[in-house]
Amino acid sequence: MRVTHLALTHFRSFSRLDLSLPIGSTVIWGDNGAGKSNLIESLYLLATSRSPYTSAEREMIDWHCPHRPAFARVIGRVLREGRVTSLEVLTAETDASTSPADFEPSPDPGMYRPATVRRKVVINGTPRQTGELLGHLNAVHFSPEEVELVAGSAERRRRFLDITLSQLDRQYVRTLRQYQRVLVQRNALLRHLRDNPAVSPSQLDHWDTEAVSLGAAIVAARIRAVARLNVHLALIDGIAPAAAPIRITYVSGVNFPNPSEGDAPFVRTIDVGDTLAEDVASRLRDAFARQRTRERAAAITLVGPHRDDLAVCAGVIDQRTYGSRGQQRTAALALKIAEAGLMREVTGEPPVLLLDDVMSELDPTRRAFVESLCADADQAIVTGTEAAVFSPAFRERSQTLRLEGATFHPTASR
Amino acid sequence: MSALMAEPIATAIEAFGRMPGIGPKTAQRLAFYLLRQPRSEAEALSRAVIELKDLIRECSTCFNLSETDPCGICANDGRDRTAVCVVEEPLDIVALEKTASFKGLYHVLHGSFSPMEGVLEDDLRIRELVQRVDAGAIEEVIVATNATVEGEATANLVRARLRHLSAVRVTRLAQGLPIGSDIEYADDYTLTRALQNRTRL
Repeated sequence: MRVTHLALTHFRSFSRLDLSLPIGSTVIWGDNGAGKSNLIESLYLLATSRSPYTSAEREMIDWHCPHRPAFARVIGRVLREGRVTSLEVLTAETDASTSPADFEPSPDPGMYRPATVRRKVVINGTPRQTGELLGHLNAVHFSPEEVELVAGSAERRRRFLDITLSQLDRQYVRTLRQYQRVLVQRNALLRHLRDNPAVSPSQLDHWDTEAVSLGAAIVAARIRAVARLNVHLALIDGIAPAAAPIRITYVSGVNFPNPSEGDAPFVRTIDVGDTLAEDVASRLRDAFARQRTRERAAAITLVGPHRDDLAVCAGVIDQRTYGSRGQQRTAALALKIAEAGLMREVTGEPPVLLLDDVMSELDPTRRAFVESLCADADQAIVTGTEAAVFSPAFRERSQTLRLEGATFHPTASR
Repeated sequence: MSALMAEPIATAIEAFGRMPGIGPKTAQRLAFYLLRQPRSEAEALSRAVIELKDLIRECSTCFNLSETDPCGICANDGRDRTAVCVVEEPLDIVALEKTASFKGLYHVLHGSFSPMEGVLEDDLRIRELVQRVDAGAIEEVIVATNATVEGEATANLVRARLRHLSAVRVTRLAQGLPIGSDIEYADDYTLTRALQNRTRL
């Protein structure tokens, strides 16, 4: 699988860009602020419908976009098993009739921005729901900030599992979205119950049932993904010391089953009704029953996939707490490589690798490992601030592009 | 704002601004539009608003909005009194009536079960529905709430509250493919539902 062509219009620092991407590795180098990460972000957006860096979508719109409403357009052509799919993500400020007039004027008339944007997804020329974008382009993204995957909060690790699964299983995304909605409603109801004794507690029944069935589908998918990711982690040789291999464990307040790798093949959420999901559901139901009193007092849902975490261990040492910065970075990289392996296993094709300024953080052995990884992928887009971080052999078999002021200069500078 | 503007204009702008979907700019536009219209136009509008409040009431049986109580549908002897269709809003009745394929009665809940918006069971006309069904004549309750998380919750709540009446059939509107659409363009979720709810040919 690979992206053959990328077209950006008013996307961050690019007012306009048309770029053909070859098979194999492309090295993009340029100074800080040249637009390297923006390019990586646009590709990640096509894969996941979100940014790896920001949750504020309007930041993606070129500050100098002359159109009103202002917009950012990303179009990519994906070649997969001989078939070309055109993916388009349009992010536009909301329509001029509600903005700009209804927003507070800023002292400098050129500076204000309306608060909301709308998102439009077009696949092969047909407008589609945002969720349908997922699965057309599989990508794995790595940047120095990904060290937070190990060092950061549990939320960060849940998102890793969620984004991996979302790219492989659209039904998972929908289940997750519904679960989040049910959670908001259930928490609101718990607050009403706490604040007003006249409210009948039997109204919780429906939300409990939904939270259990949706939550169990999510947990079962995550447990399976963890089991498969461990298979792929075990295959990685050259990232973590052999004496302390990286392994992950799904961590929850609920005692969920922890199937060994061979017993938990990857299945899509749509196939629920399997024994693992049923087992998870019954344990989750018991946990809800046990927590009922505490939840009524706290007025918040205390168990479920939104509270779970992922333990990342090197040998027996939990890297979340005890890993050095370097070890955490290594573990995060291993997780990303395993993610790529899982995607290849499920889709039958290696995902596109998006490696943003990764090399400068790694020692020569691990750089060599990443380079060999790129060689195995159909396509890898790798950025760096200087060409020297890449080995001469790697540069020899890669296309090298120099990015300067959001414009490309084909280069032979090695 | 009031310092810059005559009090009656500011009051009108505020009143428009409280309406759904109307922002401050639109409210201003409406107020100044009316200011420039002849007095008869303003009188016609205020009469329409007052009549809305004075002449429209809820039907005491089905809670649809109507000029009469019982409403035209409940009073119509030609309707099938054994079937009741449960909807969230009065506008849903308009949509269903346009189909001309349902001949029974309605029951308007006036909202959906949404704790985050402060709507709980007692804010919906569920108790009144149970009393209505308890009275005997109704054989089937068709739940036509929206296909959203909240609509689904409302449907389950209605079913739970009617569970003691085992003789009454409680059904839910089918979910599946829109008519006139290509399967190719249906989203996965709708298609999954359509498969689950498939019918015998």
